[in-house]
Amino acid sequence: MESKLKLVKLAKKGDTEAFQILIHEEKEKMYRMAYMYMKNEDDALEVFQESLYKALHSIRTLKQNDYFSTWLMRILINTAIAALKKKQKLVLVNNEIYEQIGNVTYFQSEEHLDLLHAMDDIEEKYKTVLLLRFYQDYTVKQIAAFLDCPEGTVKTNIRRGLEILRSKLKGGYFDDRQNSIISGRNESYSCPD
Amino acid sequence: MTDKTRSFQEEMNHIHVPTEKLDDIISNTIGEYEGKRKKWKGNKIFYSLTAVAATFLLLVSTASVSPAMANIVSKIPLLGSVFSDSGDLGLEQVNQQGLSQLIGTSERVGETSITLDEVFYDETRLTIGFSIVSENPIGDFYLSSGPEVKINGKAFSGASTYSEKKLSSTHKTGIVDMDSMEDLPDTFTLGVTFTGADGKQWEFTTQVNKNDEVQKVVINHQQKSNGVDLKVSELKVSPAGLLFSYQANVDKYLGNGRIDFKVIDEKGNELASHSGGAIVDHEKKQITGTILIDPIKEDIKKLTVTPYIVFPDSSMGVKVDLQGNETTKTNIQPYEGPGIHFESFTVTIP
Repeated sequence: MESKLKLVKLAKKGDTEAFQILIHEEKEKMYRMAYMYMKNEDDALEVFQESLYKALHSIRTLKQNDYFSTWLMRILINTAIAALKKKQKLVLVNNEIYEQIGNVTYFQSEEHLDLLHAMDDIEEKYKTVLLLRFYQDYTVKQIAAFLDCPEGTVKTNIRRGLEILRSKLKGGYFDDRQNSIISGRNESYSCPD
Repeated sequence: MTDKTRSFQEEMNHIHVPTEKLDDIISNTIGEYEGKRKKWKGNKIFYSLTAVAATFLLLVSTASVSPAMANIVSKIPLLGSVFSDSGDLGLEQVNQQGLSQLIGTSERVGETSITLDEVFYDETRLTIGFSIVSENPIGDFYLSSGPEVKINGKAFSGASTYSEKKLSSTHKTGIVDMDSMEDLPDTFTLGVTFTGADGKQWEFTTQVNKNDEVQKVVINHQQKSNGVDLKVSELKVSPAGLLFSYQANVDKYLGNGRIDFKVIDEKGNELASHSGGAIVDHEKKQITGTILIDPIKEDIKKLTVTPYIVFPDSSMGVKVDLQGNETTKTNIQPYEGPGIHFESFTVTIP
């Protein structure tokens, strides 16, 4: 942790080697998060690149050095959601499309497809809290600080997100909200209620 | 770590990561960034050689550079610092959250360089941040009232404010803020032209994309006070600020009075008011305008809004020419009617 803080301090002073080391530590998580939003390699790489560019040019503005990873992830999520909104679509992915774009070989078995497929269609606000909670391993408090919204809202969104995931994984119903997502309506990931 | 977390992470970890491509992106992005910094230094050395040789016939080795130019280079602010150091909470927030567009394009004319630093655009504001550095002291009104702005080749005709921050005698930053962007497309070409008092010009062109993180709240609050019928129609909530839209029908001349809002959140914090653009229709006796307020925290759901009319002292009305000479405006007749006082009202944000 101490060495990471030193690297952040150096990066803030313009040391690109230090910045590079920090990014290499984060790159896999960043890419996987980007992929969860963009659902294809090319767009995920584009989001990764744009986030990297923004981070490189604005690291000097980072106020708390020990929040480097959180700050970086926030830039990435904002960039991904902006990219999605620009495209004005949320891609419904199924096995056929995976085969077409050649991604099916990335998964080792049919089982792994289910959870990630289920995540594809979920509203961004639920997806974001679920990814932060179960992939980034943030606590509810950390997620609330990250998204700048009440802890109660975070808990509600985690619970609702899991309910939706559960129903999808059991082959459950499509409710109106999910149909609207499939049709391409955009939703903000901020905490509305 | 719970079982849920473990299984989720295991699933996520099955996503293939194109590591080589990521490494290429990292090295190319950093390489380009380094290249831009070195290119500037290289140009600086060349400039020093020609300028000094032309005027003083001195030989300057490639190992040494003009101290004045070295000073300029060291002062060019890092990209993204104009918004983050602006003191404008909305701009600081959009910068911190990666919502603004970092530009970083510099143009040098003579001994002065202007950098177009950062742009932010959504339904509440279009804001441009820039910096100007020079070998010589920069006059107080060198850039007059700011740059000329064009949208897709046409001059921007809406309300705007311009402010400068003096960091030293040879270094300033500036912000151009344009309110209420409803008529603009989601993507457009922004043209920015700065003109110095000595006629020098710096031109920039960049593509601007709209941020969609704006929440609209219908208000439709109406109240009257001594001949002013005020209707506050809606509020737009953005990470960059709150934009109130209003219309006032007036049955008397208000002089130089303008409408403003005092906004207090449910925790008792007053949110600063920044700017307001208004169109006055004298025939219809109607004022239509917007007011930009500092952004709210995500957990704020209620605002207390108190409209009021502010009457700046007419003796403080001045006109400033390009040379910085002030002339007092004498055409404003003061308001001489009864006091105009509005009641506070509450806005609930869903």
